[in-house]
Amino acid sequence: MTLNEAQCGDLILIKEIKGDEDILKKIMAMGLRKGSQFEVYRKCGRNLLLRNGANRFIISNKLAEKIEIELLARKPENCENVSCNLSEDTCPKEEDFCIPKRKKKGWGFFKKVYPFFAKE
Amino acid sequence: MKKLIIVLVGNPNVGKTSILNHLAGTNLMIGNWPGVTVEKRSGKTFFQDYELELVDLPGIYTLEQATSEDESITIDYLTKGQYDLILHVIESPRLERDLYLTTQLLELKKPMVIALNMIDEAQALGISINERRLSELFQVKVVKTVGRTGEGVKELLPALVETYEKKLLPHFEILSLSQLPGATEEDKRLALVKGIYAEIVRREFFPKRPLTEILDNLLLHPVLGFFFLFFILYFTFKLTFDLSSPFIDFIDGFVQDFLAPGILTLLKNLEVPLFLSRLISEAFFGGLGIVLSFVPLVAVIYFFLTLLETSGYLPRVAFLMDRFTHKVGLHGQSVIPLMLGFGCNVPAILATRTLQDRLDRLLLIAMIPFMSCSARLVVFSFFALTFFPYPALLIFALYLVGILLAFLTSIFLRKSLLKKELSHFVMDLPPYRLPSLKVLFKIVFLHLKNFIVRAGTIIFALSVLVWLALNLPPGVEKLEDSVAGKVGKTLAPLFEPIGLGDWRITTSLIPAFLAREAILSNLAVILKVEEKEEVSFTFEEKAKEQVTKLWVAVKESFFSLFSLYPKALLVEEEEKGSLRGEIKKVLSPTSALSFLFFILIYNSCIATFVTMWKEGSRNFALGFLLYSFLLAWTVSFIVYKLVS
Repeated sequence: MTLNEAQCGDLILIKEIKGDEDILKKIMAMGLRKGSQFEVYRKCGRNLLLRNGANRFIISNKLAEKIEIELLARKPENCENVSCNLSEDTCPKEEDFCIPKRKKKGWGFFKKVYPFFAKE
Repeated sequence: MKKLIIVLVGNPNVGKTSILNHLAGTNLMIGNWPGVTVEKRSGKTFFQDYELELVDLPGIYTLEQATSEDESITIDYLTKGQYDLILHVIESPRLERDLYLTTQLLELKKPMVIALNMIDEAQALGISINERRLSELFQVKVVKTVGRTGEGVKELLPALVETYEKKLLPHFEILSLSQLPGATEEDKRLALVKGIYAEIVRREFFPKRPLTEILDNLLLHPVLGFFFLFFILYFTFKLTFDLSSPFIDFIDGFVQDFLAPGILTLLKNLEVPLFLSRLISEAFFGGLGIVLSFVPLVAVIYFFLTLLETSGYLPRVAFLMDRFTHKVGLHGQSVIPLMLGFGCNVPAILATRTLQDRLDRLLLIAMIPFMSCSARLVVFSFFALTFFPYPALLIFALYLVGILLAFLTSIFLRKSLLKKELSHFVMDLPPYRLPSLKVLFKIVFLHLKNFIVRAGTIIFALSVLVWLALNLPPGVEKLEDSVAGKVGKTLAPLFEPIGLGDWRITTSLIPAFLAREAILSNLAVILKVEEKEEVSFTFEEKAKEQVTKLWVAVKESFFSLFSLYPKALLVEEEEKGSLRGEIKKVLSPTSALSFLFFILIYNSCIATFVTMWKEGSRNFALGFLLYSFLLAWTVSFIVYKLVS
């Protein structure tokens, strides 16, 4: 299981940080290390907020995908009143951001007028 | 006297600047690192026979690889720079995290002293640290400090000098002692950090909930959090402009009505030639007035920004807002500078310093001039009331167009010149802290000094140039015969297609480069509605008037704290009935609309231009000036053609 799959309120243990990217080394130096336990304090938008005592980190989902975790406990009740769904229910899909995705219009009109717009 | 160079190194937000402030006292300086806009803080102090030069390096988590411009500076300086000692500042409540960097610093094989800072916070959390054992393990001197109050900071000086004199090197072989077969370098380092932490730290169980947890439950709440965010941002905006604007008006009046005429009278009495007298009193002191009028605004904005940053709230704003802003390619922290832009673009551009990434900063700087500042609101109100039946609606529409163009510019730049993936977002949230007011005021003062030296000098020089354009050749009586008038006439055909081909309009735009709201007074002079009056100057009478005005400014500033609405956005409707009539003869409603769009989009403000130059680069500021001119011309052209 990877960190981006964790839910708000989950207690997790970091098992592995996959990859060699510089940003991952920085994350480790910041305190998000193999063997450390964290609670998923908030999960909002593209970010997760993790906490462990005085330490608090914000990490985006894309980076969280590279962190392998073990789920120690699931406590959704910790997030009942602070879930980001409270403000995100109106925006069910992050990608859509409240605006229904408009079907992309092609260049049909131009293609008819200017045939060189048409791709092979 | 021997000189020692000491570098302060540590993770971000560990209190290095507070320690530097206590050590260096009045010798603290703020500047930029050569060639970049990353802030450099340094200072010096004297101890025994040594002059200690202290250099505060930007905060860093690891020396392995830099992921931002400020991290590169720290790594380069530590690996290639010339220095004698490292003062490693550790945030005691988060010792385990900081020890990772400590083990890397050991490998630099440089004499080192450790400051266990914020030791009071660690004790409040039930954490006790055995500094003697830490000193034995690393073979370095360890001093417990409290950066906020300065407790223990002075003990660092003998520790640093002793370390240097005895050439004490840290125990850098400690890493190689690790007996973990098959383990990587990183695993060994992490194991060492864990081991040392377990050896030197004892924790008591404290049932008390820390303040950070209580505040985060409110300030990071998905619904309430935005309420508090709005509240904090609104009052930051309101107080920034309401506290400073009475003093800005006072400084402006002091220079224009007291200093400049006083100097002119004095020089006339000394029989100095008139042109020279006017050059000194109007251009030099006028230019000085423009620079000084920014002082209250810059001071107040730096006060609030430093307060938000040092209290720990600023990174939380980034977390709350990033949910929305990242969709348009912006960092969560961008909302603060953008919002400040509605008051004045100069402090808004300065506020982009809170962003670490240079590309993010440049992008934001390019968006800010499209946010209509209060100076533009004065012009909008006058023209909207003169020419259009629904002035409020038009002004609102202009604001919206400005915002739209800011976002279109950001999208365009993100896909072209400032291309960057906004994929990684990683941030450490520091605990909430009550900052020391002494340190806060010191930082504000240093920023102010830095602004006056860096940007003020250029603003001053350019304002003198504009004055010369308006008053050369010497003895010119009519504005149309001056250099500015001739330039205005030359430019007129360029503005013809957007309905602004009258030379009086184009000429009024030249001095407006000093201050946008000056467009109205310039038009009044050009259209001969107001003649410049010669008023006799009586020193005592004028001095008394200025004292009264200062008192009024203090009162206004104080009482603005009790009103909810930002007074900076209130436009006083001046008696300009005759000017309205004259302008209606020169401009049609369509031309006036085109003029408003031009003023909205074109970056016609000397202070904004210079601040963009200093915070970005000269080419960036010039490029943006050209871009904003072309965009303003194009939009005005479209509006003019569509409406007419």
